[in-house]
Amino acid sequence: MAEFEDKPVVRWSEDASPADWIVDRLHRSPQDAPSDVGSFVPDGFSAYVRILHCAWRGEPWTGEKIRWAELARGVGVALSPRTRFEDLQRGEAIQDVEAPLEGTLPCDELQALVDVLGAFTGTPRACWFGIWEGYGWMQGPPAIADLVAHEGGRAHEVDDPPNTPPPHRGRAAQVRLPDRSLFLYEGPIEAAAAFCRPPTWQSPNLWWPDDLAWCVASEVDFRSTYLGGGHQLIDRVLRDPRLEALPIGASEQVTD
Amino acid sequence: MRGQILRTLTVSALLLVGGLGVATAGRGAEAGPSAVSGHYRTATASFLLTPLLPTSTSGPCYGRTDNPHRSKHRPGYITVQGRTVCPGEAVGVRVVLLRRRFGIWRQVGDSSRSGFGLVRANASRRARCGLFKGVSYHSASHHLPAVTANRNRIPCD
Repeated sequence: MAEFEDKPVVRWSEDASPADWIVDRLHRSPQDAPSDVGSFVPDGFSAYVRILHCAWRGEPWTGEKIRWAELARGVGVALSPRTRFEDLQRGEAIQDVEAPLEGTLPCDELQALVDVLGAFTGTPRACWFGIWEGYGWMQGPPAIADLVAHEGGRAHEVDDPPNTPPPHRGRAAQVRLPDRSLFLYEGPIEAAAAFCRPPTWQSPNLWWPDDLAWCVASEVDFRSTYLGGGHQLIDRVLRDPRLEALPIGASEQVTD
Repeated sequence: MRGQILRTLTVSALLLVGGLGVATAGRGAEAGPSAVSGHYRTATASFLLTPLLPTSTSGPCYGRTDNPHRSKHRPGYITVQGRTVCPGEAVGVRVVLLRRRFGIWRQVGDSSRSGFGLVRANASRRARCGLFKGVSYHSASHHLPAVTANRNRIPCD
C-alpha cells in the first residue's frame, strides 16, 4: 500500500458497462426540485450515510479543520441529514471560515474512508472510479491556466509531478448519468486517492468495488459525500472519529 | 519601470485573450479535444496505465473554470465555478456566466471572491438548458493574472 501511495496508477477504462448497474438503480428526479439520495447513490443498499466535508479556518487543506457540528452549535442549529452549509453561515464565527470543498472529500478524510471501506468488500484490488468530465483540469486549456510568478515574485518548487493525464476524450468510456458524465478508471481501492494531490485535489465523484458491496458519491455541487452499503459498514463510518457523518435514507431529499 | 510596463502589457494581453475567448466561442472555442494539450492527445492507448505526470499545469498556482452545468445545489439553475489556487498567496477570482442566444453571448450571472491559498466563486442563472460559457479572471499576489474559459451546451431533454 505504501508503494502504491508513492506512485499512484490510473487505468482509464474504454468500457463504461461496469457502471450499468448504477444507471439502472439511480432514482430519477425532476430537474427543478431537490433530488433524493437515491439519485446519487444507487438504490438497494441496506443503509446510507452522509459524510460532511469539513470547513476550514484559514487556507483550505492546510488550515484548521472545522466540523459542521461546531458551527451548528455556534448558531444554535441542530444538524440534520438535510442541513445545508448555508444554514450554518451566520454570525461572526463564520467570518474567517472557508466553506467546505464541493464534489470532493478532503484527502485525509478520503484516506480514512478508504481504510474503512477496504474491509467491507471482497474485491479491494478491483474497484471502479468515476470523475466528472467537466472539471477544468480534465479538459486542458483554455479551461485551466498557470499563474506565472512575476518579476520579484516567489518561485514555487514542484516536488512532485502534479497531475495525471486525463483520458483521451475520444476514446475513454463515459458513464452518462443524469446531468453528469464521468470518465471511468479502475484500480485497487487506494487508487481513490490518485487525484487527491496538487493541483487537482480531487476524490472520485463516484466509486465502488467490483463486488458492488458499497458505493460512494461526491456530487459535483455538494459539500457532502454519500455512501450506501451494509449496516455494519455504515455503523463503522458513523463511529469513525476521522469522519463527520450522519445517517440518512435513500429517499431523503438533499441539496448539499 | 520596464518591469511595470511589461506587467501592464501582459495584463492587457490577458484581458484581450479573455475578450477573444468570448468573441470566438461561437466558432468552437470550447474546451474539448481540439483545445486539449499535447500530453492529452498522445494518451490514446486503449487502456492507459499512467503514473502521475505533469500535464495541464506546471506549478501549484493556477486558475480554472469548470463546465457550466445543471446545479444540484440550486435545482433549476445553471451554474459555473471558477477557482484560483496559489498556496500561501492572496488570491482572487471573478467568474462570469454567459448565455448564447440569437447568436449573441450575454452575461447572465457573475460572482467574485477573494481569499488565501484557494478561492472559488460560482455564477448562476435560473434556466433549464441552452449554450452557456463561464469565463474566470484569476489573480494571485506575486503572480500575473490569467483568464480561463469553459463552455457547455446543456440539452433541454
